[in-house]
Amino acid sequence: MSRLAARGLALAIPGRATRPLELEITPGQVWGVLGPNGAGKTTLLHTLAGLHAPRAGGVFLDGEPLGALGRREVARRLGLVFQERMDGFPATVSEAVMMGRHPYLSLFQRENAEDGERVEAALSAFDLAGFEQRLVSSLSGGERQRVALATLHAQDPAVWLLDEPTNHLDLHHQSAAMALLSEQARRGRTVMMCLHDVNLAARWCSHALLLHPGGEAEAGPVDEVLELASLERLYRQPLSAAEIDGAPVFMPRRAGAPDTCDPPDPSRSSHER
Amino acid sequence: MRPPSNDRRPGAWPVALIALALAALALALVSGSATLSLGELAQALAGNGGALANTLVFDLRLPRALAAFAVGGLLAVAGALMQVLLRNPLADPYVLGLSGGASIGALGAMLAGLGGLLVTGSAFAGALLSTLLVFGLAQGRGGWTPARLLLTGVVVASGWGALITLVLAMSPAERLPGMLYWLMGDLAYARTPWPPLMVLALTCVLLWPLGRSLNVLARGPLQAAALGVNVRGLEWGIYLLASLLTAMAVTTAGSIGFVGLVVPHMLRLVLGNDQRRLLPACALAGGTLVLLADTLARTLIAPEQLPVGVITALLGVPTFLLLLYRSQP
Repeated sequence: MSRLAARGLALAIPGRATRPLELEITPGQVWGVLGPNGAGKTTLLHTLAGLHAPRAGGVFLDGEPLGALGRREVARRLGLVFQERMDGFPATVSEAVMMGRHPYLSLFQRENAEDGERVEAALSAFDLAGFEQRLVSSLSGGERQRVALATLHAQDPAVWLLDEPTNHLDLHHQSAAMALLSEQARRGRTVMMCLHDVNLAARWCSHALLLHPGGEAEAGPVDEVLELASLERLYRQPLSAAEIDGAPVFMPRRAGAPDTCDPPDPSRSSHER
Repeated sequence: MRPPSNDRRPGAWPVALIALALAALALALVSGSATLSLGELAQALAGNGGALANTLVFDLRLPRALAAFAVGGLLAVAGALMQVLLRNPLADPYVLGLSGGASIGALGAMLAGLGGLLVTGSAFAGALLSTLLVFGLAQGRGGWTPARLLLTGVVVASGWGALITLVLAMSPAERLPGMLYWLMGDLAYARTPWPPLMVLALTCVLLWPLGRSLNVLARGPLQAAALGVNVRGLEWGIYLLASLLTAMAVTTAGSIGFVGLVVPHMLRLVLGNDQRRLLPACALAGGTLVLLADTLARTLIAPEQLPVGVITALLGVPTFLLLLYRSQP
């Protein structure tokens, strides 16, 4: 059974027609949502999390309609890392990450030792050990991004939704974060993330969803969906493709470069690896 | 900003704040036109005081001191709640025009020659009307944003200010001193300290289980919803509660400004923003601040009394400006 499903889901984006979307996402899959700016990637993620009402259709979590589950129950099964965050008030890194435990605690409960251990594990997973007492507002953009990822790690839901998880991250932490997300998927979690970098999707995702501004979408395994022609159509940008480390890499084509380029050859790549 | 240092001694702050509150209470009970010694105060509290000491402590000073404490606690908690609601440390019942609405209600009743409970009821209605007006208008089209709410509050507050001036201009001269004192806050109007004290105690009990949800809400409504908080219910709840607390405070002692701004700000620097610590600390420290301010107000130029709001405004204005100066664009 699918863990997260969208049935006839039309996103509610003001002043824009959207076509109904069908998605079936099962445990162990890592989905990358790709599309040009303003295509509705964030709206899709928020709609799947139940934070934004759709125009039509519905979202199903473990087969149940999202609206039938309470907010707290949803938060135990599904978590979301936002692209933008508010840090208006001072909070220490460990306080911020501890908020991931909120859905599991009743009104009168306080965080216990197990919650503390989960926070510690989340902090070390995102290279934040030693930052516990730092104020979030004093951190760099990349460090704040890792605090948000660690908060989702402490929340430990079955479905991980992430809006541009690699924003502000340096190459090492990008790679570490994507490896950790893949690891979570191997352990049966479901991961779906909006990415502006198509190459991260090609390298780390099992599935991709191409979201066009007109509302049409293509979904499927990355090696079927991440085609040069569809990506050129998606971004309205001529691209060149090459292969590095067994994964396709797409770059905007330089003006004046030859019209065609070598498509990646799967048989050769597996040999070279 | 330095990180909250509380984690090293987690149990220290309630003891310190309670000790401060008791010291302020003792100071309020001994100070005044006839100064008591601490020994005389102890005797009176133990039931062996003279007639004069008993009258001073139990009939005059204790009710007023308790009212001052309750009003301060209410205003500080209301301020802290509004700051979470607006996710803005500049929010305060006074800045948002709630106190102004209560004032115009009270002054209108006084101008009409009403007295006693009718003034109180009218102030309460004014505070609620102002709250509805500010939040209703800030809702605008498509939901409110903190910036729009704050600006709406500021504009509505200045509107109340103009109406207050109008009422003052129309009022007969003999009523003016009472009205002016009421406008700046005056605990001489407090009849009995028990209603505000009860409301303060009930509020602390009611907020006890909500602290963690408020912490999550302070990180933004979407984040809070994603972590399982019923955002709409919680926001309406704390908004109504904050209005009620303000109305209660204003009807007890008139319009005392900036307590809701200064106290949570100071405490946040020391304790951090964990609402489970911050809200009870606000109740204690807000009470202590207004108690001290009232003691100063009635002793500085004795036998004349200053409006207590003068003292709190003299503290609040620089704090507000400092906060604005330091806030990020």
